[in-house]
Parts: sequence; C-alpha cells; structure tokens
Amino acid sequence: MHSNKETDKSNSNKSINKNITLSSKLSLNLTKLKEFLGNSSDIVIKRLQFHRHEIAFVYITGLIDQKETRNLIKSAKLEFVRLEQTSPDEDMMKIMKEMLSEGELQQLTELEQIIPLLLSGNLVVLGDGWSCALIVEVAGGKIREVTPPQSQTVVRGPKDSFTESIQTNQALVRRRIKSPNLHVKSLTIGNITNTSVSLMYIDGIVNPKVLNQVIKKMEKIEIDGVLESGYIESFIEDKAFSPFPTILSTERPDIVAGNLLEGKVAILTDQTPFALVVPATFFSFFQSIEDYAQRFDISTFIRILRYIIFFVSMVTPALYIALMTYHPEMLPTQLAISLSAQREGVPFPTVVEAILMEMVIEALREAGIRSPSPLSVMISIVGAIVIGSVAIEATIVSPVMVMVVATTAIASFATPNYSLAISARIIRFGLMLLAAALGLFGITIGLIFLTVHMNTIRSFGTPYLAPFAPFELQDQKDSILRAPLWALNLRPKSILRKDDLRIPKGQKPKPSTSMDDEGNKNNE
Amino acid sequence: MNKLITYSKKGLIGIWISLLSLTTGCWDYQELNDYGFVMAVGIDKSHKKGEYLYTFQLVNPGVITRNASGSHATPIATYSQTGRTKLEAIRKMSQQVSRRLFFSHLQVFVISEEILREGAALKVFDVTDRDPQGRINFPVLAARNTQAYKIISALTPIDDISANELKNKIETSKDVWGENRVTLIEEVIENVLASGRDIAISGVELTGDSKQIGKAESILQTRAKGQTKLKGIALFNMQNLVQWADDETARGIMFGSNKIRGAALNINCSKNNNHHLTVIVNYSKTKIKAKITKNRPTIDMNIAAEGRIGEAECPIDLENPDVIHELEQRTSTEIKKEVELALAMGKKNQSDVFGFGDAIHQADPKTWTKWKTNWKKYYPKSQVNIHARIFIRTTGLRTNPYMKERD
Repeated sequence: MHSNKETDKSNSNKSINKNITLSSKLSLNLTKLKEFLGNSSDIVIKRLQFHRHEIAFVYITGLIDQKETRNLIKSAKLEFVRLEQTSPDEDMMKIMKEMLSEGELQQLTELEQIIPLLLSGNLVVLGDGWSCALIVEVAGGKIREVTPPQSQTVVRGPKDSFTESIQTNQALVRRRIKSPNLHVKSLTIGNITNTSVSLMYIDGIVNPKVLNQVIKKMEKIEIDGVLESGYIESFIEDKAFSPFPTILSTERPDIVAGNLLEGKVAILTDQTPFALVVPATFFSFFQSIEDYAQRFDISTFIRILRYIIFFVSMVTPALYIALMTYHPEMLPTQLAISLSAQREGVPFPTVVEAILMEMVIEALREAGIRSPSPLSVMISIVGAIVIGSVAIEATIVSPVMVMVVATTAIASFATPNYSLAISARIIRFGLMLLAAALGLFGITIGLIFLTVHMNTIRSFGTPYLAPFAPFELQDQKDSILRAPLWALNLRPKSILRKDDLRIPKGQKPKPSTSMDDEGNKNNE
Repeated sequence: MNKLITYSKKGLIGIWISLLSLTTGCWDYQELNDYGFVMAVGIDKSHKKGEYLYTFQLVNPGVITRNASGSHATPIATYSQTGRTKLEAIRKMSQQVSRRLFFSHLQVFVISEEILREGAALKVFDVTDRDPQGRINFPVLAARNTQAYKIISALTPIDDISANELKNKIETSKDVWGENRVTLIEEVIENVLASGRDIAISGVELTGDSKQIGKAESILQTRAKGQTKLKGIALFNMQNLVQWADDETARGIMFGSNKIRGAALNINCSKNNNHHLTVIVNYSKTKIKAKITKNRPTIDMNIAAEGRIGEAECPIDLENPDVIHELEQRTSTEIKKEVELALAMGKKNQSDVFGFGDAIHQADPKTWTKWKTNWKKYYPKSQVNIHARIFIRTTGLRTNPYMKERD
C-alpha cells in the first residue's frame, strides 16, 4: 500500500523498459511473468484448474504471510468445488474478487505495475481469459520484533525502538501522535531496490519551506539502491565535506515524535531501524529524550556535562601533547615533576606515543563492535592487561598517557549521539597533529577553524549553530539549558522562523491552596 | 568537470596549508623529560672580582615520584657555576647538567647577605624578568650569615624538595606567626625602581651542623642535622641591605606595612604579675595617610586588627567586658610599640619600609616631585602618628581560664 502511490516513479525504472500488457491467455501471462523475473526459483506459482476455468496464484516465498496465502488458496479450492456442482458458468473474476475482498484488492493490467507489487510481498492472482490481475496485500514473512533500543538507551523513558519494517515504524510514531495532522508522504527511491521512504511531518507546525526542500532533494536522488538511511542522508545533507552531521539519525520513535512536535521532518526508510530528522542543529545532538523525562535542574546539569564531555573527548590528547612538549610552565609544579618522571625511559616522543595509543584504543573499539561476541571477552582482556598495564611496565608508554587515552575514550562513549562522537574522534586526530606542530597555538587555530566552519554549515536552511549564531533568546530555554516544561512556551524559533505557541503561559505549578482555605475557615 | 577542478583546487590548498604547519619544524618542541626543573636559585659572591657564583637546585623527578626506599639518589641535586651574568652561568651550566635548565617552576630565590649589602638586587633580576618562560611570582630570601648555595643544598626530611620546603615554610609562617615577609620577585623589581618605598626581605639562616648540609645522613634521623630556619627581615636603603630586624621589630614591620595575615601576640595578664596571655590576630588592616605640614611629612598610620584570645595562663575574669576591653588596649599598645620599634629602625637606616614616600606621592604629588630625589633626607624627619586598635572578638571555646575557675 505504501509503494503503489508512487507507481509512476517505478515506470521510469530502467530494468522494465518493455511496455507489456496482460493478455487474456493465462499460460502466456505466466511465461511472461517468469521470464521477466528471470525464472527465479523463489517465485511460486500455484495453478488451480477446474472445468474450463483456470486461475494461478503468484507470490514470492518469504515475502508473504504463508498462513494467510495458504488459507486463501484453500478457500479458492473449496469455492471451485462448490461452483462445479452449482453454477459452473459463473464469472470467475467476480467470485474471486468477492472472495479476496477482505484484504486490500487492486486490479491491474500493466505488467510493470504488477511486478513491483509482487516484489514487495503481494499475492498476484491471474485467471484464464481475464487480461488483468488481482493483487492482494498479504505481506508478511519474518520481521524483527520491536525491541529496546540498542544505541540510544535511557533509564527513564519508553523502551521501544524502530525495526526494519517501515509500516511498523510509521505505526510507532503514529501511536505517539494521534492527530489527523500527522501526514505521511511516501516515495520510492532506488532504481533497483525500489526502497520505500516516507516523510512524516505535522501539518500546520512544520516549516513548509523546510518540507519543500526535503521533498525536492529527495525526488532528485538517482541511485541504484538504498540499503540504509545513511544513503539518503549523504544525498540530502547540506554540506558534503564536513566532519559534523547535519542530519539527526535516531532509532527511537519518541525522539522522532518529539522532533515532529518541534516542527521538524522525519524521514523513515524501509529496511533500516534508523530514522532521519531534519533540520538538525549542532545543539540538538546533545539532547536526549531523557532530558525531558527528568526534572529541569538535573537535565540542565547533565546537558552541560555533555558539552564538557564532548569538548574533553575532542581536545584532551591534543592538550596533553601541547602541555607536555611546548608549555610545561603551565602545569602545576608537582604535576610537571610527576609527569617528567613518568616520561622517563619512554622511547617515543609524546606525539608518537599519543597517536599510537589513540590508534590502539580506536582499534580496540572497532574490534569490540565488529567481532563476534564470544571474542569480546578476549578483546577486553587483551585491551586491559596487555595494553594497559604491560605497556606501562615495559615503559613503552607512560601511565599518564594511558589515563589520557582512557579519559578520551570514556568521554567519547558518553557523547549522546553516535555520529557526533565519531566526528569528535576524527577532529581529535587533527588537533593532535596541530598540537604537535604548534602547541596550544595550534589547538587554538584548529578550534577557531572549526568554529568558522560550523558557522558556514546549514541544515535545511537552519544555521548549524542556531540558536547561538544567529542568537535567538527564546530558544536559549532549550539548548544548553533545559528550562522547565511549562516555561518552554514557544516552538524553536530558529527553525520555524515564527512565534509558534506550544505551551500556554501561566502553568507554573503552585502549592495547592486547599490547605490555606481550611486554615482561613478555622480562623473565622 | 569544472566543479571537479574547483574541488581538487580546494583540496590542494587545504593540503598546502596543513603541510605549512609542519614546516615550523616543531619550533620550541621540547619533551618534558628533557628539562631539568630548577627549583631554587642561589647567588653568592665568587672569588673572582665581578663574578658571581650561581647555584641551581634541580629536582630528581624519578626519586620524588617513585618513593623508592632502595634508591640512593637524593631527591634534589645542586650545581654551581660562576659567571659575570646569570645567563652566562645558566648556559655554561650545560657543561655540568645533562638537561636543559627550566626556570618556570622556580620556587624560591636565595641571595647571600654579602651581595645584598653591596646592592646588587637590580642586576640579579633582569634576566628573570626578561625571560619569556620565567615567572616573577615567587619569594626571594636573603641568606643570613651564610652562603646561599649552602641554604639551597640542604636536604629536608619532610618535603623532598627543599625549595618547596623553604617556600612552604615562609608561606605558613607568614600566616600563623607574622614575623616573615613574603617578598615576591615582582615586588622587589617594582620597589627597587620606585623611590617611595624600600624593600624588605626575609632572612634564612643555617641551624645545626653546617658540615652536614646536603648529606643524605643529615635527614636519616629524627632530629635532622644541618637545616635551614627563617630569621628576621632585612631592611634596605634603596638597593642596599642595611640592617636585620628580628622578633618584635620584624613583626612591627609586618603590622606597619599591612602584611599581617595572622600573628600571636603575648601580653602580660595584668601589670603586676608575670602570667601570660596570647592574643591571636586573625585580621589586620593598616592605612597610611600622609600630609605635609611646614615642609615636614606628617603620617597617620591606622592599624585596625581583629583577634581572639588563644591562651590565657592567668587568673583573669574573661567574662567581664571591662577586662576584655583592658586586654584590647594592652594588645593595641603592644602593636603600637612594635611598629614604633620598626619605625625607629627604619628611620635610623633611612629605610622607608612602610612606603611613606608612596603615601606622600598620592597625597601631594607636587611636593613629592620636589622631594623625590632626596626623599631620604626628609624621611627621618617625618612625624608619624600611630593608632593601633585591636578588637578581641571571642575568647575561644572557653571563657574563663582554669586558673580563674580554681580561685
């Protein structure tokens, strides 16, 4: 149902270039169909014959609901038997239509319209002398259950996450926003994969300019296949050469719902549990859904902590290099002496030592993610014992270096958004080289360059550093700080470009007055 | 195609810029463990005329951090080198020390009395002030009756690095006892250049067996031999050390120059007995105001202090406000007496230790420009009115002393 709205799109599909209409001969139609699909072995054709009538059920195993299809075929058989005895001359098509009308039913004649539907898990019913096909929605097969999120976990908050099925994902969002204004627009992207992609937005809240931009950009995409939302992301992001993500990706439906309420647009891609949210500013990557579940003071504290952590994960090794090799006068005396003693006997310069250890930790991290789970114990042992303690005992690295690397790694893990954490990892190496060449001066140059660069980026018309550059006083309530919910009166102005009331003023909770009333009565 | 070209151009420019940063060749790059941390510098007169003997205390980081009991190395090492200038000595030192000397973590500067009497303070600090890596916010001490290199060579039992020990000692003593002035290098430079105030530097002397100085055995016993001790404040006339002020006089200098952060004053409980009572001074503020009457400087010095009774070994009724009031007055008199002692010594040696010149400069700049050059002629003639007032805020956790309770 999601893909049929955009069938004109699949008409331009290059693999189907012949314009074939179904003929009235069943066997001819079936041969054409089989030829078209290259006689693939996962195409199942069930032919039923009685009297003069012959019909065929065509489907692809694994894509359809096995049970439902079997039931359909079985009841068709029974119907045949009944017809044979009563009225053998009745119009077969009419009967079949009636029988199949429980599901969504379509009647198509063009082969190139039928094929995509067949490939997305529909049951195609052909009949002798029909010259058209009935298409029944029986999509099914094995779909992963809705599970708790893997990459964006919370302590307090909903525990469901997107799955690979786009229908499930849309439903997960719709369950949160039960509004007729939640609109879904479907597209099919990928000349070969024909992947369903849908845009979700709340009509009336969304900035129409942003929405049009997204649609325009999406419609322009020409690609053979879309296997992950990242494919879409790389075609629609504003700045291709930037370490910073300008599109928020999330596997949490609650985050998508929250962003939709702020007037953003969500892009859901079939076969991936990651949804994209645009526009995304730098500061939106530091927000977690739990910020709104906890009280505002706690959330503000944790948010500020996240910014510090991000900074730490970016600059710590560079600062270490700069202080150790250019500015030892800036260290406290006791620390300088202690560091000097730790460096004694270490064969490599600080820069080499730092890059070496950072590489090791990156390798460890990559190994931890990619390796089969039985090996992960092995990896942690190797990481902790061999690299941690033995390297120090063998004076290949200094203990403080291990500490710096560990701090960086922990800070990197604590960054709430994975794509932002990755960009910090890349920037870190650049800053380390700058620190090695120019000391603190180099780090400063690097950070100035980053700031300038961030000021040049936009995400679907919204400046990346909004609401700080350009400054928007109203939005300060929910950027670095998180004001109480009753004070977040307006939707983000830097995205919507207008005052859009969200929570009416004057809802600050007050102590209930009933006790006072009683007191007054007693006085009287 | 055009786009491709611009992209590659941009990329090329990016690569050029990043390669440019490497052409600096790691200017000033120096590994931390290639530095020798100089913790203290001592300056003595050399045998050769016009040359000085510079002594540097270097820290041995390995010994400090490892706390190795088996290690036989001392935590510090001192090296001496003569030179006409300090920088000459520092650079020449490379013939003796394997590491590049690093002065940013210098803790203390010790200058021998001999040099200070000759008035060489200005010369010594030029390189310290000029060096981009140098700091000027550490204290200077005068080696009293001894050589600076001996002071610096002493090993200390509690702090591993004796420079730290010296620095901590003077900081702590300033806060609790109030007879030692912490004079930072920057103050010395500032006051030597200005004529309205003379510097005052705390002295440090050797105690115990001076032959044991610097030997590891000297600290391998509970009563360490060959140690250093702070003693008195050196008064200066311009650049020359002129006299040592000790005990009450030294504290008088501290009170008068608004440097008291804490002190313990002993006073008699009453006029007719010998029992003692100690007042702890927590706070003291000195204001100096100057005016000129009949071509003569008149100075009003107001000392306002706060304190508490720290110890009372006498039968005295501390619950009586009148008694407290009397004690306040007696303590105030004691402070005034000490300041007078210091002032007398300053006047005698033409050492404007309280900065009366500065006060006149502020009060009457015109007269000051006239007096500036021969201020030292006017200074001893100055009429000084000292007002000291201490408030005793509390008697501590007790009120009356045991001796009183027993009566």
